[in-house]
Amino acid sequence: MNVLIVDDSRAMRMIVRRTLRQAGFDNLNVTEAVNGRDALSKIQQSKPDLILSDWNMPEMDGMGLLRTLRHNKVYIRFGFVTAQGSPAMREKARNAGANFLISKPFTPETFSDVLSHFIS
Amino acid sequence: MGKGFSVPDTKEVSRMLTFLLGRDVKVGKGSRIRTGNRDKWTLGVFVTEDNDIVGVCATDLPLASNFGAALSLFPPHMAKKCIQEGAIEEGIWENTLEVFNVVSRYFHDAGDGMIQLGQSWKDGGEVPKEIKKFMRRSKRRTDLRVNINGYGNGALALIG
Repeated sequence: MNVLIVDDSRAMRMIVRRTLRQAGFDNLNVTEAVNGRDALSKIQQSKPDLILSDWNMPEMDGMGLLRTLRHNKVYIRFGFVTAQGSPAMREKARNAGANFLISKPFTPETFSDVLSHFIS
Repeated sequence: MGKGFSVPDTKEVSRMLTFLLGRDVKVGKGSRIRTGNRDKWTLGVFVTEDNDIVGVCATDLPLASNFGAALSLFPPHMAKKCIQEGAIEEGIWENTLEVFNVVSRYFHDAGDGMIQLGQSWKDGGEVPKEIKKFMRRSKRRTDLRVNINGYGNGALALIG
């Protein structure tokens, strides 16, 4: 299974990778992108089954990425991994077509609970 | 209008930082952080989508260095070097900003819509006028002493 991690923080990309492993998701092909624009350019090559994206990023944020994908009828499973966790932002994410939102900071248990529905 | 900034208790901040840094973080009440002209402080400002300030997070140099090093599991001596030299290395500061970004969660109810990290400062000196004004007028703040296991202590203030 291919997973694309999108975050402008190198440290956070590393933490997401590590947490995926700690949550027991070992056999994943993980690709990284530094913002939404970078993600769009990498999607064709890496063909992700799941995108884990930060919300606030320079150039193109996570919402811009999600809206661009859905506008182009690309329905890759998409989840935000973000500091934005308020009910209003969760609703905004859901309305835009996000499958889930994981709030930072997160634990391996949170990853396991949420992602087990999306990672086989 | 948002509900305003609700000051988190020390246990909650400890729990949040422990999850984020993946190591034990102890948090207790601290003395008021020094942000004078000659002090070494860092600041992150939280803003609405209209760029209105709703909160400020301030640290001393040791905590900013320790936050940044601990997030990426950089060895503690890298943080110590920043503290000794009185300047935070860019790679460490990038991580410190990510910690500030997560700290924004405490200000999500302080305004409408998205609240995010806006401007930031890392070199101390004169606090910008509008930030100073915000800090002076703020009604809610907490000053904390933070110990990151394996790295060290530092001061954190959350002001809203």
